[in-house]
Amino acid sequence: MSIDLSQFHQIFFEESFEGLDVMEQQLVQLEPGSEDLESINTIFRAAHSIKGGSGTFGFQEVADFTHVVESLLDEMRTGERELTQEALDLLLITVDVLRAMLTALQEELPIDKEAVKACHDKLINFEKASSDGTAIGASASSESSQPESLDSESSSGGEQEQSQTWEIIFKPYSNILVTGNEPTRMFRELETLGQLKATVDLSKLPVFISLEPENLFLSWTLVLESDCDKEDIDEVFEWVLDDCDLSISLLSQEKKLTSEQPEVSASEANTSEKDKEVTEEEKFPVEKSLSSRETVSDKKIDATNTASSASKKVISTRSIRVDIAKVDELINRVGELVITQSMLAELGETITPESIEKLRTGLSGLEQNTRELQESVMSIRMLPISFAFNRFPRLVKDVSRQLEKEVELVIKGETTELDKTVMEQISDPLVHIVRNSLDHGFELPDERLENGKERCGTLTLDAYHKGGEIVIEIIDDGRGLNRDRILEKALSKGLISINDELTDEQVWQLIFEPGFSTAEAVSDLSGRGVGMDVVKRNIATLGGSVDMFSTEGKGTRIMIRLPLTLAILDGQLVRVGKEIFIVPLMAMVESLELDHKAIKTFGKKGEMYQLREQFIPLLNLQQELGMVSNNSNNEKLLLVVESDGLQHGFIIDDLLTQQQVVVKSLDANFKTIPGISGATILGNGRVALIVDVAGFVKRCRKIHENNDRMKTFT
Amino acid sequence: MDVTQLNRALGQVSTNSPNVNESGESIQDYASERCLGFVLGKDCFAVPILRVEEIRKWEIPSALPGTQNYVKGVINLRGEIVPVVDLRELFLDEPQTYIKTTVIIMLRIFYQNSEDKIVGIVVDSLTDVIQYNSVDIKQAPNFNNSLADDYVTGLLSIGDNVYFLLNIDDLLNVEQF
Repeated sequence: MSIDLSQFHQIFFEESFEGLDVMEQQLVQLEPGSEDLESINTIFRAAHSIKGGSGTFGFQEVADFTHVVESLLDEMRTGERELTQEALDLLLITVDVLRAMLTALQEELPIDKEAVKACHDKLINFEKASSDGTAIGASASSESSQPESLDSESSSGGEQEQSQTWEIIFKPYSNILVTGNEPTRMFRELETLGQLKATVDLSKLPVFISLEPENLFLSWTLVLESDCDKEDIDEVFEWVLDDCDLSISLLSQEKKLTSEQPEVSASEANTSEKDKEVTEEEKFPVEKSLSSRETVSDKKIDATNTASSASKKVISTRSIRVDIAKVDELINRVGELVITQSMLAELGETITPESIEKLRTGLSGLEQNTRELQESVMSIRMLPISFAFNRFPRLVKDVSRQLEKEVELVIKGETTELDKTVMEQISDPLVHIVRNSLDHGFELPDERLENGKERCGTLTLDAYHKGGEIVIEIIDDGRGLNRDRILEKALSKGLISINDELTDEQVWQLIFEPGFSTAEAVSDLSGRGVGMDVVKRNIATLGGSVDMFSTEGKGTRIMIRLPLTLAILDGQLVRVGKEIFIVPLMAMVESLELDHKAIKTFGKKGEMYQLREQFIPLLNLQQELGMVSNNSNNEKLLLVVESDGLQHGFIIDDLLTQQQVVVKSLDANFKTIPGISGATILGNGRVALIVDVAGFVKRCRKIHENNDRMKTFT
Repeated sequence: MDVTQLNRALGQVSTNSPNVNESGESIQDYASERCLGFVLGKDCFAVPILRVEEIRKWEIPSALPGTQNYVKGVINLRGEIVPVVDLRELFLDEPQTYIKTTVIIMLRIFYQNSEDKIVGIVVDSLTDVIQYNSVDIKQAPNFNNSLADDYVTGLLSIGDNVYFLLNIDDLLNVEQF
């Protein structure tokens, strides 16, 4: 299975840069000797995410480098290491180096290995110096996870001189000579800046008969070794910018390139030799020797590669990839809207009693158009979840090989659509969960056989719509969660006390506590106890929830529920007193006329309602929302709602229409109110609050509990 | 107007403000020498004119459950949901009687750690846009009233009236509603 991971690179870079910003901010705020665990945790998590992401996408240098940083941070986090000014400075430098590395990767330029190496050594030395207090001399990395290659290859890079190498790809248009420009003159000028090597591309040269002497068919790849700035080079080409394709990029030393890909070094050296030949030929392009043809075509491929990367270099802003069919549909809808509008405008010119009927038809058409338009606009934000799932096959393959486990990945429901913002924020948590599952969930093949399972484990990723939510499940058939071990760990971490009696559900939830990890050995993969708490937090900020089900020996199922979109909601308008509220349609079960005889009370409080065979708790919205009731004995309605699998009855005054509402946040100019998920603006311009059913029930319960408790004690 | 006078005025006001950092912006705005005066009961107040986004006629806001009494609710300000605070209830602890001249002044509030917010205040009536000289701002005495001590940054005497210059950034900090 081959999946193009490069489509996610941009996202990874965006996320990583965000992470680096966070690290920097927190580092700057931290004082030496501070014990601000929250900040250190935040920095650590950011580093961890970068490490994880870079590992997934094969940016090994970044992953290795970050691993060292992370180890250092981990020691600070657990308090084994003091937070000195030296450490803080070093970490800040590290952030800069990481940013440079990522920028280089993003722009597809070679990484500045010297800087990385220098910083890497500093980190290692620092870690050693203060962890065992021995001499700094032993700088050669003894950590098994440290790739030797990084050290060795960069040490050769350390001998390089300062001058930079620029690669200039110069493709003049065929009419450049006509405009009075002469490439050789420009090359001569470049030569004054430093040592110049030129490779000519003859591939476009036509056969002699069709050769137009006034047209130029050649293009060049120039390698300039000089300490000049980009501006200096730009200046040379200033006059021909409009008559050529030009890309100027900073190349690191050729030797480094060679060491980066040792297996091709021989051919590379070969090429550079031939380069020289071509340099000489450059002045007499017609006398090309056949022997250099090969080189030229090689170079040409190089050149086109670099050229395409150069065009990508424009750092993209936040963008979205939209299926063209969706855009077409949108345009169709707008077209219809315009037609309806002109029809209505015409009707508006002369209103006669006869045209009323037409007007009505027109208006209903307008309504339909608007709704369809809204739907198509919203669908633009919706992406199939395969965007989030597609990065997993490689991850699972690599990680399971690394762990010597055999795991087969099954992906289901990858066409399920999900809002882009939700998708972006769910990707990271998914990676954490899958990594955790691979690391801790699955047994080694032999162990599986002993337990009577198949050698090869199965990891299933599934996504489907349920109600107004999307459900993502991650199912493994590994060893499941070990209740005793989790309890033991939680005890040692002080998360629970020995007397606590916890249900399975509660025990599984312990995994989501910060700093919780049952893995004995800290590995590259997981086990540092970050991740699951981040997972839970990320999902909660999206308005979703995460549940865990596990049977020891059988496997674990993690279920994530997320709202489909955060922007629009199907709502039922209800009147409570004089106010109008909106109850999400997906939370509603039914509505019926309130039968006062079916209301049962415990004392004066604790009302419940006998609904056919079952009893459900009652909440009087008017009272709960703190409104003075005007006429309590009037005919009222009962709205049965469901949240977290429990039904509740809301007493309301009237049911109004159902409509889609645009969710606006109260935070923008106010703050969050428990039980209210947002607000919207109704057709008449008034504001209506949207009830968050689960939060509202919780809030009411809390208020009542507090009141009751107060009463008991007074 | 020479610079020393301006600075002196600024100095006077800032020594008075409860939190120099947070109210730094509002002091700047009072230094613009124009403010909007309004009446609450018998008292006159003023807010910096540069912070006034819009003035609207009184309309009944949609109530917000679980907030302080003086938060009357939210209204729709051109697609934005904006909270409305009744200053009479906040200052005088008596419910507002809404009369013909009652208006809502939409103010832009600056926060140190988050984005600006817009908050509306309900007042009995507007007086005028007041043009003044920064040197005329008098330091507020100790009122023995925590509300006044915390939120009045200076006094301005115009004709027969004394205007209380409000530190709106602290006064309308939505987190405490």
